[in-house]
Amino acid sequence: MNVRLRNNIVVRGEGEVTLLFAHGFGCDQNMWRLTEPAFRDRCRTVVFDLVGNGRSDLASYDSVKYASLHGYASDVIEIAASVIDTPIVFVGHSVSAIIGMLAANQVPGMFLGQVMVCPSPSYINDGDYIGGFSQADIDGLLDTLDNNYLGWSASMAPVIMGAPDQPELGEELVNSFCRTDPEISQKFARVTFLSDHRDDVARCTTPTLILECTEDIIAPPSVGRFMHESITGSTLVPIENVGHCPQLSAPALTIGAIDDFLNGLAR
Amino acid sequence: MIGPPIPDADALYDGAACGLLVTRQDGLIQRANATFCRWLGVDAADLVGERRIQDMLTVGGKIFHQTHWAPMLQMQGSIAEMKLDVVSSSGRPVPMLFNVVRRHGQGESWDELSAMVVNDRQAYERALLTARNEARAANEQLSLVDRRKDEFFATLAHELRNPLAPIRSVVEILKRLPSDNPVLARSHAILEGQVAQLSHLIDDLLEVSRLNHGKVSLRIEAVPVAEAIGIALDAAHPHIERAGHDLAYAPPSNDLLIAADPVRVTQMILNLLNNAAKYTPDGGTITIDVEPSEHAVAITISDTGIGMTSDQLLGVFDMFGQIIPDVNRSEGGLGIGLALVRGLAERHGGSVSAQSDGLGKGSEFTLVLPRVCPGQFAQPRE
Repeated sequence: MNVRLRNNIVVRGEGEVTLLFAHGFGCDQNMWRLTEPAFRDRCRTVVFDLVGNGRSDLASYDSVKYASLHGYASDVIEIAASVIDTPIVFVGHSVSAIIGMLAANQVPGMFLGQVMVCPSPSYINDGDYIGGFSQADIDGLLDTLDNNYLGWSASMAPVIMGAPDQPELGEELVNSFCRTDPEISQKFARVTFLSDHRDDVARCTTPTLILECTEDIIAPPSVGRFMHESITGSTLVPIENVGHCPQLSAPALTIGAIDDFLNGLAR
Repeated sequence: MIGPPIPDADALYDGAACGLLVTRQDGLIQRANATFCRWLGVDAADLVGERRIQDMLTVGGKIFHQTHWAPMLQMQGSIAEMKLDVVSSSGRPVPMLFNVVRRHGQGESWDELSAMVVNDRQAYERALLTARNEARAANEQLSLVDRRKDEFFATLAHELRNPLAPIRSVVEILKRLPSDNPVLARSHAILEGQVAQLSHLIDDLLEVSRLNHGKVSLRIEAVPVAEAIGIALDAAHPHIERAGHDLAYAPPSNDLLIAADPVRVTQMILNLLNNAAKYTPDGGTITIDVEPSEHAVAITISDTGIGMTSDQLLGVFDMFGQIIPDVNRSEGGLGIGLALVRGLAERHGGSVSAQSDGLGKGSEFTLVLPRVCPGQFAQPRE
C-alpha cells in the first residue's frame, strides 16, 4: 500500500522546514484546521490520518501491528522517509506526541525538533506518578465508546464532510467529523490509554516543546511536569485553556508558542 | 371554542419533556430547566454559574467529552445523539442522549443543549451489544473447531496411510508364494482389492485436507481431453467391468485441449467414474459426453444409477454430504471423492455440477474446465 494513500497524507505550503502534524485519539487531520494553515507561508506542512482514522486506508489496519504505539511510530518513520526531503519538526497531539517520540527514539536525529501538544506517557496513576486515571476510569471510557459507536458500522464510519466554514448550516446535527471505525476506535483507545512509555521519555534527545493546557484532565499539569523534567532541555509552555485540544480552542496561543519554538531552533 | 391552556414560553421551557441547558463555550452552565434538574435531583442554583456540563459526567464521559464532544462542537458547530452518563446528586449515573448546537451573536458564542433520559434504550442497546459480542465469540469458536477438524483429518490420513505400505507389501509377497489353494487365491484378490480401495480413500482424504490448506499446487499445461479420459477409463475399468456396466463413450479429437494439471484432471474424471460405477446397480450404463464451447470443455458423466433427491443434490460436493441421507445404503461414502473433485475443479478455474431427476433416475455430473487452443502454451506438451 502506498504510504500517501494509507495515511491520507496532504502536503501544503513551502519552506525549508517541514512541519509534520499528527492528530490524537478521537479525531483525524481535521484537528489541525485552525493551526496548520498559519504556517504555510514559511514552512511546508504535512498532515495525515493515523491508520484506522479519518480517510486512512481501513484495509491497512492490522490489529497485531497497531497493538502498540510502536506500530504507529513505524508509520511515522515511513512517512518521514518517503514523503519529506527537508528537516522535520514533528507536531504531535496527545497520543501522537508519544508516537513521534517513539519514532525519533528509534531513528535518532530524524526530527529537528518536536512539539508535544498535551502529551501523556501514561494515563494511569502509579505510586508517585499521577497520570490522572484509574483502570476503572479507562474501562468507563471504553464503555462510553461502546455506547456511542453502537449504531456505527464500518461502511458508514469514515465519511467526512469536508470542512465548510459554517457546517451547522449544511449537515446540521450530523456528527460528520472524526468518524472512525468503531472497532478500531475501541482498540486504539485501549492501546492509547493503557500504554506506559515513561521509560521511553527519558531516552528522548530531540529538542522538545511541551504545550500543556491549564485545565486538561487527560494530560494534567502533573504529567506536563513529568514530561518536562524527564526530557533534558525541553521547554514547557502552559496555555490558558479548558480542555485537551488547544489547537482548536486556543489556536492563536498554540501557533504563537510553536512559532517561538521554531525561531529558537533556527538560532 | 376554548382549547386547553397553552403554557407561556418560560413555563414551556422549564417543564419541557426534555432537559434544556445553555452553557458557555467552556461548558459552564448558564441556564438549566426544571426537567433536567429534576432528573438529576439538583437545584438549578447549584448548577448555574457553578458547574460545567463536563463536570457532571462519569470519568470515562469526561475523557470522551475532551476527545470527541469539544473538538466536534468546535469543528462542526453541532453534535447529534451523543450518549453520556450524567451523575445524579445521589451518585447514580443517568444515561442521557445529547444534542448540542453552538450559537454565535454579539461577539459571543454559547452552546444550547437538549438531553433525554434513555434508560430503556440503554438497556436494549447493551443487550444488542452483548448479543453481537456473543455471536462474534461463537463464530470464532466455530472456526477454531473447523480448523481443528481439518487438522484432525490431515493427521488421521497420515496415520492411516503409514501402516498401508507394509500391508501392501505383505499382500504382494503372499500373492507370489506358490499355492494351488483356491480359497487362498480368492483371499489374496479380496485383500488386494480392499487395500487398493482403502489407499484410494486415504489419498483422497489427504488431498482434500491439502486443498483446504491451499497446499496443492498445479502444473498447468495443454492436456488433450481424450488422453485424460483414456487414462481415467483404464484405471476405472476393473470397477466398471466387475459391476457389468455398459460404457457409452465416443472419444473427442486429440486437438481438443484443456488447460489443466494432467494428473489432477485424470484424478477428477476417475473419481466421477468410480462414483458412477459405485452408485449404479450392476448391469447399468455409464455415459461420457464431451461438449466443447469457445472457452471451455464440459465433460459429462451420467449413469443409470440410484439418483439423488433435491436435498441430496444440495450437499453432494460437501465433505460428509453423503453420510446423512441413507444410513441403510450398502455402499455409502464420506463424499470425499466429490469434495476433492470440486476443490480441484475450482483450483483450475473450472467447476463441477450435479443433476438428477430423483431417486432411481440416475445422476449426471458435469466437469467444466478451461479450453485452450493448440500452441497456446509456450512449451507444448510432448
